[in-house]
Parts: sequence; C-alpha cells; structure tokens
Amino acid sequence: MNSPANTDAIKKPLVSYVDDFHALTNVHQRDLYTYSPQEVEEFRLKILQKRFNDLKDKVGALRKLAEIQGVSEIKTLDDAAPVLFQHTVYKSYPMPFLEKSRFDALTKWFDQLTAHDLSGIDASGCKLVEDWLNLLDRQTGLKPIHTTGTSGKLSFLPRAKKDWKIQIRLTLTRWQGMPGERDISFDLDNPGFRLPIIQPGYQRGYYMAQRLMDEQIALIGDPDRVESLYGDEVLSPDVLSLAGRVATAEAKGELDKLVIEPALLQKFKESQEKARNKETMDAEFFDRVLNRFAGQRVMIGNTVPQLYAWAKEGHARGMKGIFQPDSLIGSGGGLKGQVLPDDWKQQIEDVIGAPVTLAYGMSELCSMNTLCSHGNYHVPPYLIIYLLDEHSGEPLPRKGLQTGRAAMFDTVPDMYWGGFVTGDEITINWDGNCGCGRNGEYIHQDIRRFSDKNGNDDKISCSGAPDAQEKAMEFLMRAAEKA
Amino acid sequence: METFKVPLIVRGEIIDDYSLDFGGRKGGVSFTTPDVNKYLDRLTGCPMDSMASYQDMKIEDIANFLQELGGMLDIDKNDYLRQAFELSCHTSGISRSVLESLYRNAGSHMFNRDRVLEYVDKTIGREYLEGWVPNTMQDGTVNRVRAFGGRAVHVIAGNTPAVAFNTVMRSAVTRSDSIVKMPSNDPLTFSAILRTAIELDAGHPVTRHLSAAYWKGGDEHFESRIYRPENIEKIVAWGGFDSIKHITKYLQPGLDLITLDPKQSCSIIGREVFRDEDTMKDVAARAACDMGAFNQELCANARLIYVECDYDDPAQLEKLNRLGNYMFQALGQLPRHLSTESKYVDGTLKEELDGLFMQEDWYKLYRSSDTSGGVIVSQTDEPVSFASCLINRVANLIPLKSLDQIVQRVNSATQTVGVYPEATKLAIADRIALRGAQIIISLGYVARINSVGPMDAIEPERRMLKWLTCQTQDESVPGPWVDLSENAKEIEFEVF
Repeated sequence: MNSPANTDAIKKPLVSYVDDFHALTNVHQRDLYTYSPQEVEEFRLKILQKRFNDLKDKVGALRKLAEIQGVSEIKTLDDAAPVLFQHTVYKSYPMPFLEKSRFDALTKWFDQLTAHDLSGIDASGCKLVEDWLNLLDRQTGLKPIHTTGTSGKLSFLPRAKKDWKIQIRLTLTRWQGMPGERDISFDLDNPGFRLPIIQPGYQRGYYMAQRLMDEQIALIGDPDRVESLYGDEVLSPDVLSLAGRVATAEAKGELDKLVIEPALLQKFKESQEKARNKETMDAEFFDRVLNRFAGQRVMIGNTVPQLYAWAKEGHARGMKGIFQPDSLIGSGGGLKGQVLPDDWKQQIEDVIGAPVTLAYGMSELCSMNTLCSHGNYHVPPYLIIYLLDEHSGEPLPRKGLQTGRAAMFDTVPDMYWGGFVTGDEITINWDGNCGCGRNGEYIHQDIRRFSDKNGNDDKISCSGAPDAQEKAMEFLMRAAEKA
Repeated sequence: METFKVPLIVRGEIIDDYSLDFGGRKGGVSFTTPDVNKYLDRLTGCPMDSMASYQDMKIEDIANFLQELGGMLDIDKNDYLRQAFELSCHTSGISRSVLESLYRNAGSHMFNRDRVLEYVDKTIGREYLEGWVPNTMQDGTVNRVRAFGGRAVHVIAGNTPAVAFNTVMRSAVTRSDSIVKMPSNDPLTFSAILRTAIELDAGHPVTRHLSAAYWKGGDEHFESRIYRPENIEKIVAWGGFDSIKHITKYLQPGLDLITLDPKQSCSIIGREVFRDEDTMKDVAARAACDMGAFNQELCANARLIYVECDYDDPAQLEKLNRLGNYMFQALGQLPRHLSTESKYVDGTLKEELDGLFMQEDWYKLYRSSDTSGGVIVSQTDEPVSFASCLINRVANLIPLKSLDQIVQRVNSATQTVGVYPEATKLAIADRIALRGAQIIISLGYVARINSVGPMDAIEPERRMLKWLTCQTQDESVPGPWVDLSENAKEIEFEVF
C-alpha cells in the first residue's frame, strides 16, 4: 500500500547521523527504536557535545549562562543540566519593548538567543509583533514562533526554516509502527499521494501548529484541499498579548496613557465575538468538511478536547466512520484541564473512522514522544530527557522508575540552544523493555503540570493582588465597545 | 504524613464524628473533619437567651476571661496549641523559628487584658457596648445608641496564627456569635484556642458563642443554606478575588459582608537616603525588615520599593545599586524570630529569577541562592513583569525621578506603605490615601503595625456590631399627627 521509508538492508550506525541529521528523518521507527542503549547513548552524547561546542560562543544567552554556571565542556549528559534554559529565557525582554513597539531593541535581545546574525536587521519600521515576525522570516533564515503565557507576555522561539523542514518529517513518522502495530510510512520526498487536511482551529498564524501546517501542506497536502475553522484569518500575536499590556499599564498607574491601535481593538472585538459564536462556527465547519471530504482519506491534527467536540457533534448526528480507516489523525497535549469520559479516544475513533495517534510534545521541541500500542510514550534517540529533582533541581539517575521535573535537550536545532526546563512532572521507566518492541526509556501516560499539582485548593492568600488579568480583559472589552 | 483530626466545635461542644477527608495546602498534609452538612441546624442555632445575657456582660469581665485564656495558650503546656504549631510548620510558608515566636507570644499579647481594653475603648467605646449612650441633638431629640453583637460567619486567612487570635478577640469584645470557617492552610489554631476555652469554662458566654468548622470554600450545597439572613447577619471574609466572588453570590438584604482584602504593599524612600553611606545602610535595614518580616508571607510585606532617584544619572544609579545590595545584606541579618531563609522555593518566581540574567541592562539581581531572598534593582522605572509573584523574600527596587511619579504608582491594590523619611510620610499621606493606600507607617515598622485602629480602610470591629438607635423626641413639640394648618409653625423634619 505505502512504500516503506528506509529500504537499506544494512542499518547505518546511529552515530553517523550526528553529522547528517536530515538522513535520520528517513529511518523507519522499527530501525530507529532497535538501536542498542550503548549506541543511543553514544549518539546523544556526541550530538550534545557538538551542539554545545558549536553554539557556546555564538548564542549569547548560552555563553552567559555557561559562564555563570561554570560549564565549559560537556563530558557526560548531566554536565549540560545547569545550562538548560528556564522557559522564561524566551520572554526575558523588558515589557516596554513591546509596549512601545521597540522592535529594534527586541531584535537585539532576540539576537542573543540564536546563532543567526541579526545585527544587520532594521526593525525600526515594525509596528506590530506580526510585522516583526514576518520581517525576520523575509530577511533571515529564521521563521520564529511565539507562545502566550497566562500573564499575556509573549515568548519568542528562534526556530529556523531548516528546523521546520526537519520537524515536519519527524512528525510524519508518527504513524509508523513496530511489527504487530499499525504501520503507515511513505517516502517523505515522494509520498505518492496528497491528502486533504482538516484543521479545526487556525491555519494561519505564528504558533507551532500553524507553522507546521504550511510544511504539512507542502509535503503531503494540497493548498486547494485544506479546510480550517477560521479560514484565511490569522491568529494575531498582537491581539493575544493585549491583556498583558493592559495589566502592565495598570500596575504603573498609566492606564489613561495607554494607546491601543484601533485596528488592534477591532481585531480583539472580533476575536471575542468569534469566541461567543464558536458553537455555530463549529457546526458550520463540520458541514463544510463533510461535504468535501466524507469518505476520503484525510489528515487531521488537533488537541484532544477539539477532536472530542467533533466526535460529539458527529455522534449527535448519528454518524460513524466518516473518513477512511487509513486516515492520519494526530493529537496530544492531554485534556487541557477538561473533564472527558474515560472512553473519549474510542468515541473519537468511532466517529472519525481511523485511529488517533497521540504524542507528548511542546512548542519548544522539534520532536515528539509517540504513544505506542502498550500505552507508553517512547523517547526517540534524538531527544535527550533529563528528570530533575522537584526540590533540588539536580538530575535524577537514569535508571529504574523515576518521577521528576522534565527537562529536554532537543538535538534537532543547530542554530539555537535546544536545552530547556519544562513545567511538567513526568515518570520515566529508564529500563525500558516495553512490550511494543521499542528499545529505550519511555514516559508514563500520566503527565501533569507542577502548577496544577501545588496550587489552588481552597486558597485564601493574603499576599495576593486582585486578578490583574481579569481586570485587563474587562478594560479591553469596554474599550472595544467604544471603538 | 499523619492525617490530622480537625473537630467541629459548636458553641462549647466538640463533635468528633470524623467522616470527610481534605488535603492541606503546600502538599503532603491531609486532615479529616466531620461533615458540617449534618450539623447545620446546630451551627446556626444560636441560643438567643444566652445571646441576650451575653450582651449584658461587662467588657472588663470579657477582658479578664481572655487574659486567663491567653495564659493557658502556652505551647509548652498546651497540647492543642503545640499540635497546631507543629502542623503550621508543615503548611505555612513562614519558617519554624518565626512561627514559634508568633505562637509563643500570641496568647499573652493579643489576649492581654489591658491591651483588649485599650482596643475596645479606642475603637468602639466601652459605654456603647454596655448600655445606651444618650446624646441630645439640636432639635431636642435624645438619641440613645447601643452596639449589639451579631450572628456572624468568619472566613479567615491562615497565613499567620495571629488571624485566629484576632478573630477570637474581636468576636469576644463585640459579643458576637461567630461561626469560623477554618483555612485549609491552618486548620488547627482556631480550634486549639476554642478547645482551651472549653477547658477553662465551657459555659462561659465567650466559649458558648464561638464555633469552629471546616468546609470547602465554594461548597454551594452548604453555603447556600448557611448564608441566609435567618441564620446569620454578618460575613467577615478575609480573602482573594475568587473567595470573595463566590460569597457575593449569596448576598441579599439582611446579610452584611465585611471584606478584608489581600493587597500589595510597598515602600517609598525619598532621595534623603543617599545622603551618606550610613544612612543608606540604615534605610536598607529598615526596608529589608518591611520586606522580610514573617518571610514575606503577609500582604503587609513590601514587595515593590520605590526610591526617588534619577536613573539617567550614572552616579545616582550606582548608589541605587549599592542600596539594593545593602538591602540584600541586611536581609541576612534580620533576627531569626522575625525572618529566615525561605523554607520553600516558589517555582514560578525561580523560573523568572533564573531568566533575569538575560536582562542585566534592565534589572540587576542581588541574591546568593534560591532561598536566600533577593533584591531586584530596576535600572529604569520599569518594575519586573512578574512583580505580582514576588515571594520568598524577594523585592523589586524601582527608581522614579520624583515623588509625584512615585505617588502615581499607589493604586487601589495598595495596602501598607512604609515611608522614609518621616517628613515625606507626612507630606504624601493624604495623596496616597486618596489613591488607595490603607495603612501608612514609618519604614521598618511593618512587623509592629498596631492593629488598634482601622484595618483595610474600615473599622472591622464597628462593622461587626449592630448599631441601634433608640430615640426620644421632644414631647413639648406637637406630634406629627397633630394638624396645625392654621397659624402653623413650619416644622422641620428630617427624613432620609
């Protein structure tokens, strides 16, 4: 049915891919996950050393942190633990840079996070974050993304165009399987088919999901056969960060001086209206998709709650098996705080008609940990995971069953430092031996955020300030009404 | 970790039919309590004859009772209090040596007879509690005013044991019938005080009109039934936005909500600080104390410290950075009964502080470890973006070019403002009050805020009381029922 990926009868030594990462994307999972632990360890150490040595003088933030922490060389994996970035590093710019549209200063700051040379970039003409991201895309090898925190302060990740090309190829291997599992694999450079792509969210924007959409369409899709909930509309980073800007102005007693561009306020108003009309939009979208693609082989990627909302709609209409069983459905990211019935996966698969492949990943990663047939997330050889002790921050031993704070070294990017600390508590079985046949360590399914674990139970906290975020939203709603 | 038993105490009776389990805060501690739903009638059944005779009790007698109770609240001899203290060591953000000092002194200080009487006389006026106080008005009316205790629910904070003691004291001197909902981060202190009161005198009116209960905030089934005017008249709530929001659902005529809100506190330092090195060090010690007392776990602790300083002048900026460093050094010198290294590391703050190395031109950080506490010195007038998360003895020093600009930063979220020097404090008091400040003190004295007097810009003890007026009109003036149309004198009347 599909041509297998790597038809080489002789498996190349894993370490040979340190200097040819691209070729690694063509290695089928059944080969990738059957290297010996020694080979995986050798690969990981060599590539980590390579990245550190290449980047320590080119990425200003890494040089600074390495100096502060006294790390000058990597001899073991754990030597890199003190120089893994807190996620806050990616939003470590002063708020006035955004508030006052000082994109020239923001570019100088961003230059510290990447080995790309941004010194020649003139961002003084940019007025919006969107302008700035597009400028970098046009004039450099970067295609950055942002994430949005609860405070409304945007983080920026200096992903390169090259990184997206690799990431999409790795993502498309997620439907491969070990012997005995469902296995869909194809030549990434010549797949032999093009699939309709369904995106129950934004197709256009500057989150990882939207960047990957572009790559997906290019490799395996068809621009004329894409259906997304919001069509051509762009998910605007400027609108997303508005609440944060308001809260900051309020804290400084400068709310009356805050000037929000009318165009932005208008976009904000529209986004709020959309949020109110979501149910109607969802139903209309569902109809469009059914009309165009029911009965076909499709590709869908989204969060679990979104897919479940779909399943409910389909179920309510008495529908089952809408798409072909060899459709490519991917999801992950947990339930995002929502309460779903225990058989949510089954319900989704019944309605959609194809299995859902789950994975554990995040915006900071160019790779992912795919869930196997035995319910475990497998860590690929090209991802180095650290488990840090919850209290001391020290790396826990890589043996047996361990639970701690997840930190990662992503070996994919070679122009920014791939090491960072997450806010997740995970459990790893380092001894492996999963029944699916994959070698190496795996992550248990129950993953939770530290912020959920330690907070909010019946809290009376005398030392807190009134909810700045909520007040900011109210301010914006009022301003949008007047606009 | 042991599961603690938190009894339900209803007006002198201890109910120990433990059936529900709850998790304590900051992980690890859990406790079991009876199900308050089963005892709603008993909780809300305030015996009105006892309440009536309570109102006739002399304040001096109440103060004497409290003093005797205070004498029994000795953690070396009182097992209940010791257990509450030990549990707090696990659940509170305040370190052990500071907590010990708080527990040792609370009883003898807050229940001291003379202090209680001073409190009553200065904030309420004993005579209003003990009888009808007559005032003859200009129109001849004699207005008799008397203050009565009400039936109240108190939703108290648990970040310091002082709150529990304060609540007992206020409830006693106002002769209220109080049901106190205990905080999950300190479920034992209040009940320890009540259990001791029961041992002292189970039939005493103070004991008989205090109840201690635990239920999960937001438990609609229970709260919709207890928060009704036929059951209670006053709700005294210490709490944040969420906690107050779900109480406001129940408000209706007959229910009076008194909120003691959490706020952010700050310090204001005038340019006089830069006079010489000795002054800088002295002010640094005061500011460190306001920030670090009780390990910065109270809303009164300063988190933002505004300094009058021209940050465009390199010489002044350099002094500001030195001041920040002195403050950090002073933090380490504070008395151990008042402030110590943090016993826990707030993850969110740590991530932010670990990221600050990227913004050295904007923020300088003085600290030595995750638990040492620290001072972030802004190099411009920008606070850090995470100013609302400051904890673990970390403060943000912010230069502003003029006092006017500093005053602008005070807003409706501001509670306590410590000011240096004295002259500046007096000069700006009115303006910062108008902008939202609630308690104005001299820099360095957060740890000694005298709670005799207004709190959170209200007078809680007066709000807890029901103020009645009993009027006698001037009988020599014809009553309103008499028609005086011919040759009528225009009679002025007051209608509201």
